[in-house]
Amino acid sequence: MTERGEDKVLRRERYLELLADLQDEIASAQDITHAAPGILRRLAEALQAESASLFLLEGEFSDPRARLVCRACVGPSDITGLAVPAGSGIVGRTVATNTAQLIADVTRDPDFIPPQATTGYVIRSLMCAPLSLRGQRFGAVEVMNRLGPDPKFDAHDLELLEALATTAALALSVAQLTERLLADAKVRRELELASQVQRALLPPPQPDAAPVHGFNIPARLVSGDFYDILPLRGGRTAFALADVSGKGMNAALIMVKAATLFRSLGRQISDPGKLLAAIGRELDETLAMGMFVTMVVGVHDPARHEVRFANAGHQPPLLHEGGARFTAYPAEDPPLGIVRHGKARYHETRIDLSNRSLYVFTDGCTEGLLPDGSRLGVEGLRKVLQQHAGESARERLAALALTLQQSDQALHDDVTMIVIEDRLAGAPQRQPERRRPGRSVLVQQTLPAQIGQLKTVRRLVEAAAQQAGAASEWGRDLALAVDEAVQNIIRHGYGGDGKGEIQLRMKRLGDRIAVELVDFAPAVKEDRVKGRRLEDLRPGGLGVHFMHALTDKVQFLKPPSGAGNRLVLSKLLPKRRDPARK
Amino acid sequence: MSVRVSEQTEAITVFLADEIDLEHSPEARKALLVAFDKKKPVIADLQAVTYIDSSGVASLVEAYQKAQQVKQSFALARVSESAMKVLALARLDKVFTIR
Repeated sequence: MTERGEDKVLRRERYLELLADLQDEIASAQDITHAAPGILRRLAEALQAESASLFLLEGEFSDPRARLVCRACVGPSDITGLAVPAGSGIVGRTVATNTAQLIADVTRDPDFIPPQATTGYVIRSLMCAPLSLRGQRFGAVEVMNRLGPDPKFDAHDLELLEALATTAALALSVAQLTERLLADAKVRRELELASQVQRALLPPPQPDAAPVHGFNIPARLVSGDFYDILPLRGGRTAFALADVSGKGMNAALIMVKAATLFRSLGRQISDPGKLLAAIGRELDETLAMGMFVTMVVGVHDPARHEVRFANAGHQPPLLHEGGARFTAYPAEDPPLGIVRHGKARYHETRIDLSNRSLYVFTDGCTEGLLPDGSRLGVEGLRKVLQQHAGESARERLAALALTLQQSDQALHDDVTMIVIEDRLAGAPQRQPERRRPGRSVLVQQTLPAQIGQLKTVRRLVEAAAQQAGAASEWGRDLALAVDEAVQNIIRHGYGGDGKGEIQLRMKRLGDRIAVELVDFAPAVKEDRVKGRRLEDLRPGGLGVHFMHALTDKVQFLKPPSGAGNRLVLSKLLPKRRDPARK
Repeated sequence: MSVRVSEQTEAITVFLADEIDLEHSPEARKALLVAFDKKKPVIADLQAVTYIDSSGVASLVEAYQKAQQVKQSFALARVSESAMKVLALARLDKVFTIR
């Protein structure tokens, strides 16, 4: 055993060696409290102390309920498990003041709380160092009763204790952080699993010719929105869209239940009003205080070209009747879960869907942010839907989804939409016997005379050409010719100020397709649209050449009364082989 | 449409992509004309062009004329099939240097 008379330099070296050793041990320890007794023993030995103990803080130090609990100790009296209020005693003072204490005679210290007499343990001298890191308190380590001739600890002893305490605090901080990370990772894994379960509940993408299409973009891993599409007998299709109040796991669980109810009851009850009431009754049992579900369920019947739906407190579905004509259908019943055991039957709306589209969506759609930070709103939604009216339902929904994801900011709400439509044009499977290669209107649309519409015009023309059975390249050629004609109207007819309208009509006339463009601009002289010699290499003027080169006839016809010009481009359809044997 | 300009030691390449119609051709035109300021040969890469109308072609013609005016070289590279078709329709396929 080393005597106190040892050289100070030697003692310092011994302490440093021990410190390096113990630091290694602490750093490699899986669990600091597990490794603590061994460390405390070596520490006590080196300091010639009778006992040593580790106190860890439980709870926030500022919380009056916080305690300092002895997690490990060595010495004649085992106080493991002993707990003191966080601010009391010398150990409490050490933690509170975050300062190491060196006390030669504890009996003179006002904060000293003697051990219970029954233990028979007497404390004389004491050192205590706080375990803390960047203001965060973890506890303290205490060393008691120096053995040997000199019963006092000195500043060098305290230095060792403090250095060791710092290392221990670092280890505790790392352990705490690791634990938190592990817990976060566990929660995340669970959320990802829940997200997968939810995604699996959504219907797969529908074939192009299907009457109902939808999409859902969750704002977080799990969503409180859902939609479903359920084929019924007789070619009918049931659909549902719901928004559970609130977000996160609770909403997601309710969503799963609502989805399951729709799947199971939707096949049995084909009456939307009754179906919604039945789902509501089942959900009543589940809905916690203050939670509710807004939901639209409906059935599309292709034989009647109609859609019937019932709406429990959901935001109004929008019927697009073509052009800028939209009708909203506000809910006539409250959300599910608001009135317990409310109704046996919800109000039902019946709409003739011929050549129209019904949009059902959650408020995430209209509250979605645009790149400039403004909200899309119902107006903006109408605009997007109108702009892409010529595209297939899937393309239209994709365009909307893109619009809502352009903003740099994360979505703050789930975005879900379904569209139900019965397009005479888009549904060739409907009444195939009446499709004859005679005269039929393929497109009829009024568009604002703006260059942003050119893309829409091209898509409309390409889609109509495809519908008429032409190859896609044929359609692209016609689209370029029509684009050039529309450009001329925008630039030269209306003067390019974005005002005015253009009526676009495409007709199948036997072996050709005629595209008619009517505008309300001042009448143009035909020779201005004759084009010029190509050798004349100036920018511009090419458009008219393209119109002539890509179609079979470019005619200015007498405009309808009130209109300015009527231009008709017609193009012969390619000689076709029997399309049925394609 | 998208426009990306890349400067190499020997030339400036303007990558045009997607649909170059009246709405977007001003942007293409500007990128092409500005490229000549670097006093290097200018290349318009049309590989990703899916659609080009007369205004888009006009932008290329302007670039061609600018090149002659400032005595720099201008070429089209990797012209997509749909762009080539329109250039041929305008009979410009013989006018431009096409790589």
